[in-house]
Amino acid sequence: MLTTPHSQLISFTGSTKVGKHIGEVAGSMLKRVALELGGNNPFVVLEDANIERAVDAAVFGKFIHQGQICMIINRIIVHQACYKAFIEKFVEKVKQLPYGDPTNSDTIIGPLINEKQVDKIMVIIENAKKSNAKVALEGKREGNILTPTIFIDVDNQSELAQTELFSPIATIIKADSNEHAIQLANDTPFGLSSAIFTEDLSYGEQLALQINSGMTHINDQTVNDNPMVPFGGSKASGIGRLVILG
Amino acid sequence: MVDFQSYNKSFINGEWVKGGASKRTYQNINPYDQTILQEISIATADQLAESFRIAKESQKQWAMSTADERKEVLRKVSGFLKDHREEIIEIIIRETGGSYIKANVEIDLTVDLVEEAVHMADQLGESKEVDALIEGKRNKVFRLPLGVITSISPFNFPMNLSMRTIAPAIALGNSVVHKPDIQTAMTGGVIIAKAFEDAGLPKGIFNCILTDLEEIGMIC
Repeated sequence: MLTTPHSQLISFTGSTKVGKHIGEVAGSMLKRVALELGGNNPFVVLEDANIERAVDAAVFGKFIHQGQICMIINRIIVHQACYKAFIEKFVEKVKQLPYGDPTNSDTIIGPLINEKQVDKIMVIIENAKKSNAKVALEGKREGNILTPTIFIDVDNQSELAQTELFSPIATIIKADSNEHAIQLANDTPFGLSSAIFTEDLSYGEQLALQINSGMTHINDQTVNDNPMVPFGGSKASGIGRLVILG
Repeated sequence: MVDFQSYNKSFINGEWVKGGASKRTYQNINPYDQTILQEISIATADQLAESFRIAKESQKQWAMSTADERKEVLRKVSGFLKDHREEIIEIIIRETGGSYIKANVEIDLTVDLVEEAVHMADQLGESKEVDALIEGKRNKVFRLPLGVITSISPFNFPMNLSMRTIAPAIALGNSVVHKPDIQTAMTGGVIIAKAFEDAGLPKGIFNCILTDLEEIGMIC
């Protein structure tokens, strides 16, 4: 598939591990690549954010398709001033997410793609608990369905925070200041999508440019794809931009 | 109504073909209730290699097509997706395990991608004149097709994550060999192949290979 002499470009969406391999093979044959790989996308809530709206956005951007999206919110980084209020409202909302049969149009949380994936996520949750991560909402397994788990007071350097979870696990990290929040946001090998919540749009834009990621959204969540906007990541999130120019 | 579940084969050179010599099959199951949606005939490494040869050969003609021909195909593809919207949503829900909201987002994004790609078709054949340093000389810059595009897409949002490569590639006169994740063969491959077949895309320009790594390996 990769070494055929008849193709001039490989477009791949998937894991960073496989993407790097494809990049190597393509490079050796001077093929072009578009690699859209993993993410560890931060959702940053600044001191002056509208908490209600930030919570709504975080619920959508964390749990759509059970978290199985490259652009999904992987870390929720909240300024200490609104940390408690955010957690309270977020947990309350997440508790109420309907789960079960996806053919029922009310369902929000459906199954993960396969059993192996569920097993893998269970290990991540167990390991996080063993390392004393604080649980604010306990999830449960029913077949291939995993209901949401929320960890709070998470250390950004922990395995939990540094893993692309691809599952309905929310990880909340406290920041001392707005600057600290941006520093934490950048502290990952990945750089696909990110989001900042603030009532000050120009300050938000200024901070957005300080996050090293392919895309940053202000007062929105990380899962956004507009055919007219260049799509792609920086750092370990890939090479190339998928864009349709009008 | 199109019974997408009955398309359990690869789409190569304009035809729906079973896997070759190996005879292996893959059970495409609903991740929620484990019911079997399809028993897919897995394409072999030889069929994959053959698809690239076919795609290369066919692309020569497609590169000469007019912008209107390419636009017409893409408009029909978007029409097909819209006409079969409800059936497609049903497949996305049952095959990817996505919610009703997720399925709607996925089909909407896919249609948007195809409709935006229509605008790209004009970029082929256009030339831009750039000033020359020496008087009397002229510089012209053209955008040409690249040739054959390899596309490999995942299981999560298979339809739009496949189409974002396929639609622009075809709009710009390229051919495509596409391998969706076989866990979501219909959403990521069959529906797209059916749409291009229905739209009258010349054979060999879009080839969709349903296979797995055990069959083709990732190394080669």
